[in-house]
Amino acid sequence: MAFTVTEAVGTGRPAPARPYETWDDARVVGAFLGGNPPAFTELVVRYQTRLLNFIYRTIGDRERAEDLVQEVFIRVHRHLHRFDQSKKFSTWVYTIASNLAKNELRNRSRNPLVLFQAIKTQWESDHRPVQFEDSSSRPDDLYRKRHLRELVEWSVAQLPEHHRVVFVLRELEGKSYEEIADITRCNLGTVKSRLNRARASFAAIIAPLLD
Amino acid sequence: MNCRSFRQHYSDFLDGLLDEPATALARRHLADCPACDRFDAAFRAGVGALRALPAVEPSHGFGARLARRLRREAATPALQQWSGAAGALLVVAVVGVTGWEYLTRADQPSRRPAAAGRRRGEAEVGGIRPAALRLGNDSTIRFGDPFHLIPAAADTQRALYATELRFDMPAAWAGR
Repeated sequence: MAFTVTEAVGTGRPAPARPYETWDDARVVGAFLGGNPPAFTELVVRYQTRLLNFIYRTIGDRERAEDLVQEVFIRVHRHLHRFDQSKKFSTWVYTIASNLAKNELRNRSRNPLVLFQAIKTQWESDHRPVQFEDSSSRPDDLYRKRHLRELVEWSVAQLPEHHRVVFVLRELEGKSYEEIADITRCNLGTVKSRLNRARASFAAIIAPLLD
Repeated sequence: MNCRSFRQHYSDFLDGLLDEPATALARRHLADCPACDRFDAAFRAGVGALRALPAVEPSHGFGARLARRLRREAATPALQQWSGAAGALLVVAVVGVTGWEYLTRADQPSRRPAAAGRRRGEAEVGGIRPAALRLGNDSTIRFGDPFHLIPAAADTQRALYATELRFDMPAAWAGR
């Protein structure tokens, strides 16, 4: 099937018309499979930012997160014809993203060089001049906000991988327990237990930092 | 409710999954226990800050890059996409056949006595005659017969394969 992702997606150019904007995911998927390639653009527009944030909060490396989001869409495009349309598209797409994020974390733990590069990238972005972020705020507010942001991001990064995925899906993506179970391919009991541990760990890590 | 029990059910408490009496107990514990109250406040403040983080947006050119990758993907024939897997299968097949030949080689009893014996046994039961390359000076290299693994090909192929080839080795090669 020919592919057309409107190149204005994510380029900052004026957004193109979105004929499928009001359709639900299932209909958009159906339209794409029925021979309307522009419907795929709608799926990209809907999910690119959500997936980027999910993967970024899970792996902590923005550039790599963007590469992985691209990989998610490549896989979605490649395998969409095999997607069981009785299931939720969002669950499927998050499952792909979650697996890629987990693989990334595992590869990093095996490859210290990659980990070092990720840390360095993070370090550089953390040390950009403050005034580039929001020139309208007062410096002490900026410092406090930035400090808090660093603390919470660091605290999330301290969680073990399988806790972090569940934590981000619940606290940031607002997924239900059932959806998290489907995405992570775990049973409900495991999800509840991991989430409880993740929340307790997060609170224990951040409490002394906020005092 | 004590601290341990409160933290054990903290997730359910947050998500409103505890029944009413349990929720009341948790609330009472929270009011009475400064440690758990601090724990709860830290969690809520941390998650609040996390949710308030600005969303990360895809960089400029994300869509163009994706479009390029997908066009490349669409231009790649399906066969090429499977070439890696096919190559791996081919390697496995070649290694398998080579290993099988090695194991069933008849004239190496000292290296693989069990395998040689098994091959001879199969040849007798199946009536399969091994192929042989007969050299001059009374030496013969025998091979196993792989075609019994592929019944459809066996009849014609075995006839070819089982032909004995004769090669008279020059005396000089044999050191005579």
